[in-house]
Amino acid sequence: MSYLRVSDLEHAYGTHRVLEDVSFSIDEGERLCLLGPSGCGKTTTLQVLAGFVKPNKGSVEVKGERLEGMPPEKRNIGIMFQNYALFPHMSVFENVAFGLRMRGVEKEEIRKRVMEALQLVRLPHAAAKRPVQLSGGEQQRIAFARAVVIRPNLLLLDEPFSNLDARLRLEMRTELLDLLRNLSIATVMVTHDQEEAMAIADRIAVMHRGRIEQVGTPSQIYSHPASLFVGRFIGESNVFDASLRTGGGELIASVEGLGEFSVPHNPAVKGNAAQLMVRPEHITLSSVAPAAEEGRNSAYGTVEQHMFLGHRSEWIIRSGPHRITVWQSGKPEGDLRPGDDVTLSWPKENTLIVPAERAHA
Amino acid sequence: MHNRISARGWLLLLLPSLAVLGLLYVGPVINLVRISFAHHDPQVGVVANYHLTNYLELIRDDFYLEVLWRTIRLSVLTTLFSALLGYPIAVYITRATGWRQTLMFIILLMPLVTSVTVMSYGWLILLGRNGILNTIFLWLSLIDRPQQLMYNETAIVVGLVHVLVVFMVISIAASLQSIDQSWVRAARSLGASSSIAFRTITLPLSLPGLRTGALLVFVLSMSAYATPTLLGGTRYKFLSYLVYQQAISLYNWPRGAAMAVLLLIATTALMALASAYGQFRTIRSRARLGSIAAEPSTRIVRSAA
Repeated sequence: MSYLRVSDLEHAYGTHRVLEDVSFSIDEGERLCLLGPSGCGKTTTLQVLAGFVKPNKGSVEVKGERLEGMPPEKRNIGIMFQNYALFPHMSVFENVAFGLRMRGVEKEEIRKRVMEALQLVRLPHAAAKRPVQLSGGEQQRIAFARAVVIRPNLLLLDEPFSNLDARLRLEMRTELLDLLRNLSIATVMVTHDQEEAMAIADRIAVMHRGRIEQVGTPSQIYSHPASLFVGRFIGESNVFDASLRTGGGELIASVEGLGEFSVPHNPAVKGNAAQLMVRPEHITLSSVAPAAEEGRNSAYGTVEQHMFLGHRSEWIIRSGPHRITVWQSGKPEGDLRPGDDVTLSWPKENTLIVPAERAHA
Repeated sequence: MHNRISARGWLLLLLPSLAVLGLLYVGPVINLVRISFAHHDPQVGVVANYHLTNYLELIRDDFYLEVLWRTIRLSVLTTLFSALLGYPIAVYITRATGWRQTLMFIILLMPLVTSVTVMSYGWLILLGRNGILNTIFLWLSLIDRPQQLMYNETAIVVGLVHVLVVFMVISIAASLQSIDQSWVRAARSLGASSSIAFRTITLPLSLPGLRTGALLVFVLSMSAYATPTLLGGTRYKFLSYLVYQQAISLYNWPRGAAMAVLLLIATTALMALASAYGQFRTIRSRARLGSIAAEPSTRIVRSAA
């Protein structure tokens, strides 16, 4: 049985529906990330879990116990807020001790556990300081210590890195992942940053317009997006309108002005209209047409632009009405210049088809 | 960006307000203090012959001391009731939106923009012998004959709270508005019920506003003239009325000035006392906090050694 089970959540603010049929579950010690753009309902879902928002419909169960009607203070859920929400009129020690005091833990025990928590986040010397005296990264670590010191059943992280600058963000990501692995608390994290989600989460639930579009491990989501939205939200993609047919026992997608490609099946695609996606890093460029290879798709085009970006090169290839982005980590075969003809090829399994939507939805 | 203003620039910017303050405030106050030591001659008026007689007479005057004590006592009560009444209103105003908030502000500001004459009629209608309250109480048989509801100390406090509570509400509301709701939510998630979260988070963080409000209400009520004169009648006078009487009716400026200076001293002393007490408490709580945090960390150092 799953540790946390969220079933059929529905919620609306006035006439604006923010959650529709949101269901997911996580196992003990698992980290799930709700990923999506702002306004997709991920924060509302977190508020429902915390007990700050009462959903119109649906249920939340932790360890088989239903949380409906239970006030936030009874849920034993640790929350790390986006702005950390450290109490400004209390010292770091008092901040971390707050949850234990509320639980009536004995004084000596509070002292012991607070200092343990502060050592866990490597800030025992900050105990007497006020939150304003700490840097952003330190505040985040204290917020984490405060959330886990109560030994919560569930940990909620709300956009944990959004208030940090770019350098610190990478550092804290590694640090937080270490802490989460050591503690192995069931965690639900909310973010709009796909990289953060992929780094921290065991599984990702991609949300869009109040619905969960796909749940899966980071690599499943990346390699097999269930919808155009998921494919575009996670990583870069070249997207083409395609029509499907079966030929010689294989599924063939034809894209006007580009060619015909053999593609793997996707049960989500119904009918014969679909969209075809190829990620820029899966495409190989070469100046000489390679021999048709089993299991590879190819297309032809002209080099339009080349940008050297250090760890990779970005190429823009024009093929009929299409512009295709290609990333190469090494130097492509031959010497390619703008205006040169070029062959693009990519593996069949990296050719993705998703249900047709308006291309720029 | 280069937009720093030099010290001289600042001085230049401050000059107009400094001039106005000096001309209309500091100068007259110094003059007031000077006159308070001067001699009063019924024929000439102020005579530049300085002595302490005005003050000594006042300190020995039981009537004056009684009025001073009443002024302080009723001002403290006014401040207290304004805080008790104003806090819930401030909470309501910070949570209310749109027309409810506007309406509440209009109700609160009404007494400030109403003329004293209109207000006095209002109180008469409400509290007079044949007023609304007496009529209602008679009709309900709570009393058997009309009671005197005006011209006593209770009426003064009720009137002052009515006029001054808005200052309390505005400063508490400003303080409450700066309290991040995520702090309250954090407290809730850590196990605090909504009432405990209020006591541990909202209330302590709104104390600066409460302090400012108390200061404003206290000072304004110590120097109030119209409301206490109107509602206290002939028996229950406030100090500002005595000052007025001395200076305007009896032309005894030195005595009036001495009263005003004593009022100023009393007000300042009480405020200083309150703020010193506040500071003492913060220092004490900081010290206590420091000891909590210091002990375990020294222990760690010891165990590490």
